[in-house]
Amino acid sequence: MIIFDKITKHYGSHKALDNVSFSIRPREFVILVGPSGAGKTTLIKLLLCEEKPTFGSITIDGKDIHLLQEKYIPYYRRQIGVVFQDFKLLPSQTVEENVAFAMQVSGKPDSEINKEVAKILELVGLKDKAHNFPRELSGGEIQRVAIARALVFRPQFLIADEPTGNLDPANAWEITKLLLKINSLGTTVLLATHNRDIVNSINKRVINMEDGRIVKDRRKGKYDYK
Amino acid sequence: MLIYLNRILRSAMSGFKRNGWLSLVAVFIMTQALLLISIFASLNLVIGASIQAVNERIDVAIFFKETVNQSEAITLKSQVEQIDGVKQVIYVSSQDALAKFLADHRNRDSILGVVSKDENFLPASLEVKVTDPYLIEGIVGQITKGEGGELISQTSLEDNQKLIEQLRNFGGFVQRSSLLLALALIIIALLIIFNTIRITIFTRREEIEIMKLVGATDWYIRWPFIIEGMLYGIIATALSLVLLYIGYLTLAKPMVANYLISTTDSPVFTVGFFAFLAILQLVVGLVVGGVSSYWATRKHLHV
Repeated sequence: MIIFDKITKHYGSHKALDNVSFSIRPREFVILVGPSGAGKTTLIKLLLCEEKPTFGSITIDGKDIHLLQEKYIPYYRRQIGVVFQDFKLLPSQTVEENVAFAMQVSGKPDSEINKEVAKILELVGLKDKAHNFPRELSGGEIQRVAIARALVFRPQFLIADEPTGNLDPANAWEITKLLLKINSLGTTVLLATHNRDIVNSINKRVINMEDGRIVKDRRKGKYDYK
Repeated sequence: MLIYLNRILRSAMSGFKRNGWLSLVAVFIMTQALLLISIFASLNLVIGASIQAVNERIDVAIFFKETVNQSEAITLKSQVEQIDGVKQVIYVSSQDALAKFLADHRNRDSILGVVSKDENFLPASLEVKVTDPYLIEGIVGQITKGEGGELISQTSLEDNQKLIEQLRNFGGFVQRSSLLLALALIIIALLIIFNTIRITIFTRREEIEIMKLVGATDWYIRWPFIIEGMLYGIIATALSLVLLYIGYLTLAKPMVANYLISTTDSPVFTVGFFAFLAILQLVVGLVVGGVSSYWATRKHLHV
């Protein structure tokens, strides 16, 4: 259970988030929609402990994540998978190395890493491309590598910030289906997106944000913007 | 733990290789700094050995007036022995002095011709050895101004003093100038390594950002850079030790053999001294490399 409790975030005089409260239940699939500047990215930054809220708190399973000591933040981040619009892969490393990289950071032995990476690549359907470099892949495939990397720690919670923003409709659908599959396997998913077709066709909970506030929160929502 | 170490080391090595010529410059400057420190330490040693040699060879001689008899002289000898810093006092009687003089000049007939064994013109004296050359003046002062002062006609202090003073001055000059130069080079090395690491951080900023996102700890990100800096120190130490040894064989060794006044047979440059130099260089190299890269990560690595 993730609870956002009266979160407010100021950047100077600008209010990026204004008294935002909602909660996400385990295994839920939540879509965050809203125009640029609505506060989606700020919300995700707070969730990743990259920034601290000006007021309010975010608690995960009863623990306020912003009360974590600095040195525990890396360990906290390993429990959360993140996927970005710009993928953030290392161009000089192969698919396999990119995914393994995340596990090396945590000090896992090579044998365990190899086993785990193979499993994850199979899950995202990139087993055959393990030794390819990102530049040799399509946009959708690259994003699947990023998802694979986000999943290596078997997180309970996956955050996807505009993961389909750089993809064509077919690839966007591939990624969305993959996220749904991951969700069905038991991972909570928070998806921030601009993609109307996807929001309208998957029938999941939609939270609409505008000017740093939540304006709608519906169990089976639609994309309401033009 | 070992896994971490392995991965951090590998990352540091790749950083070193990626920086190419910049790494070389850093190593080069560091090598020069280390060399200077070693030369400074070596000169210090040589000058120390020279001063010691001078002291051991020409001790202070205290000459008695002709009227002083042997028992008075022996009394003064035991008094002098009580003074702090006095290592040894030898009484040289008038006859002893003559015998030594004749022995020293046995091949020079012209000198021997004018010396008559019956009319001994050489005074009796005390030869005083001290533990530390810096104490000589004080000790001689104590003797001449003390109770036995009126027994003494003159001392050899003035002659010795000049030589020792010159050695001390030269030593001080060499010490100051080499230390200053070494310090300047160390600062330059610090700055260059700092800059090298800064560039490494810059070229790797993407990787660092991703590392943070996937939950790498601060130190996991930071250590490769610090080790890269220390690597510069280690390589510079190895280089400067090789250069130093070549310099020792071609320059220092013949010089010491030819010019150094030494009564002792023990060599000036011992294996122990080289070990000391190696450790000194390694410590300075590691500290300078490590500190400058740590400083760079503090300033430019926003973890």
